[in-house]
Amino acid sequence: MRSIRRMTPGSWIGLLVMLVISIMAFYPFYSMLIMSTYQSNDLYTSIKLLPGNYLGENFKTLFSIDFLAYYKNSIIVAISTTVLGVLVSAAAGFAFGKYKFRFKNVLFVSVLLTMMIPMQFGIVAFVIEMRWFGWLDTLLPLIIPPAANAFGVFWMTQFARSTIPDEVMESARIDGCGETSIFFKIVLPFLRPAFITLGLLFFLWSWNSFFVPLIVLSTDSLYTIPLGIRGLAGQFRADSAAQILGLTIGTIPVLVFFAIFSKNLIEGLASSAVKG
Amino acid sequence: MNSLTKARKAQRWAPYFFVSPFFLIFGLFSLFPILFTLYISLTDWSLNGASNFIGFGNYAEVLQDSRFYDALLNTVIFMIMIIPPQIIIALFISVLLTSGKVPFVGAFRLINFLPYITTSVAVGLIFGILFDWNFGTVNTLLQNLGVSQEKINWLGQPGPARIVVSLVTVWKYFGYTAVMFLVGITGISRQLYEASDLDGATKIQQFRYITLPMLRPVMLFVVMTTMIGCFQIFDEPYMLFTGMGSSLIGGPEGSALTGTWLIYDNVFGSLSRFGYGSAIAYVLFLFICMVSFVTFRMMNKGEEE
Repeated sequence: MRSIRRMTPGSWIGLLVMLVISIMAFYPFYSMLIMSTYQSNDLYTSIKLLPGNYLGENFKTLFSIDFLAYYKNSIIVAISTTVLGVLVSAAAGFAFGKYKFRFKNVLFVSVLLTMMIPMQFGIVAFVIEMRWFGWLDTLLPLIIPPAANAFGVFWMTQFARSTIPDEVMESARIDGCGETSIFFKIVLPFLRPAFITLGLLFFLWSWNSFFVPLIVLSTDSLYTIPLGIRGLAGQFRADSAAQILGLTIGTIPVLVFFAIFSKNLIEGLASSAVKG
Repeated sequence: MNSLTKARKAQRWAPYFFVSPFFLIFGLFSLFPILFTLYISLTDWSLNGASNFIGFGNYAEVLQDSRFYDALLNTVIFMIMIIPPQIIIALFISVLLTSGKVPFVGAFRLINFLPYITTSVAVGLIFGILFDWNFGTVNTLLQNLGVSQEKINWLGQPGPARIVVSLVTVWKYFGYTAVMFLVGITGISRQLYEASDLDGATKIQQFRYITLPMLRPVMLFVVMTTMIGCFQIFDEPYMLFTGMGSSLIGGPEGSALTGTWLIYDNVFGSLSRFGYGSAIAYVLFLFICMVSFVTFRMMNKGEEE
């Protein structure tokens, strides 16, 4: 990074424009933090730039509903999906990246094509299927189906292809290592950087998911955060400030993860994705 | 010798074993529902009701449903209102951040990525308050700056409502798109730029003749996924228009009704018409396939010239 003192006029203009765009990107996010400290009625009176003094009350409202249960559900769902999704993607990516086998190209192209088909097209049958399985109003439809993610497979394939040396696999085989233990003992450590990036994305998608939970969940105590917070509007009164506080607290885990791993995420994406 | 052939055999079966979890879950929960939806679309299946095969009856009804045309029109309008600004802003940012002229690249990257990580429910709720008719920040700001005398009823009129939905969507995804472009630009060989520097090319010429053409694959990816995304728009407008007490299904005069919302309303809203909802899904599916195909052809054609 160049130092500020050596900046040319052109860089100053660039910096200024970047600042303006960033403020616009940040302002709604900032107002989310600020709004959670006001009384709902005050949200509609003037532009708020500084925190208010209603945070405690909003916390009380928030905990008068089953907010901790929503949090717990979100954590269960997001972590399970992330672990399962990363493993499923890594296994498939490893196979596509490091083996030659019949139908490989057909299968891989079908993975790429499915990246273009949103699940909304099959949502009606999906719900009927969930009813058959007895999975309606459980957390399972939020955990298992999202674990098979075409983007994840594509991404792991790119990564596996470029990072796992054939020689290491061969020498493991000569030492009598089976294919499954090659996967768990050799491949998984090599794929670690990819795990972090993909894991973050899986976690994010799952944590913020709204459409499917809205459709499959009907018991209040099973709600995830976005759904539970939405329910708060109907429960006794439309308390926007308390809702926003809930969403702020709900955003914190993702924010912390991203702050810690943002370098990994962006460099991770840069290392392989999209280039295809 | 025996153990070696056994090992080679294992090696032959291993890839199928490794891809099977993905295809099993994918087949069961994505592929099967999509195919089964086609069958359901040919029945009059509704909640708890028996299903009778009725052929193309649902399809005939879809083609006469004015709300279906609303959703189709809205999807196209959103494509026009969302894709160009999102791409221009994202390109601009990514070029600026890779130029090496702007400091604090990491911080800017993170801040512009923040909207993408924010729950759509929060996004809908916050923009709903910012764009409130009477006391929202946006109207206050526009009046203070003297841009408009009248307060704009952002969420109550079709035109402004579409503007808000587009703004929200662009706001949420431009940072993500910028990362895609960043990835693409980082992948372009430095030598191309150095060579053109020697030939005396300006920055703008470099952008026009090196960066843009080399970004074509990323551009194609971004345009296609954003187009399909326009059909899926649901969470944010759902919160904007049905979040705080009101229940404007599809927004004012159906101006924010998208494919996903239309399916949701027919199947999970008041009506529970599985068969009819499935038919809508399939007509929209065909429509999106057609639009994607045409776009793909158009964008690839440019390359041949």
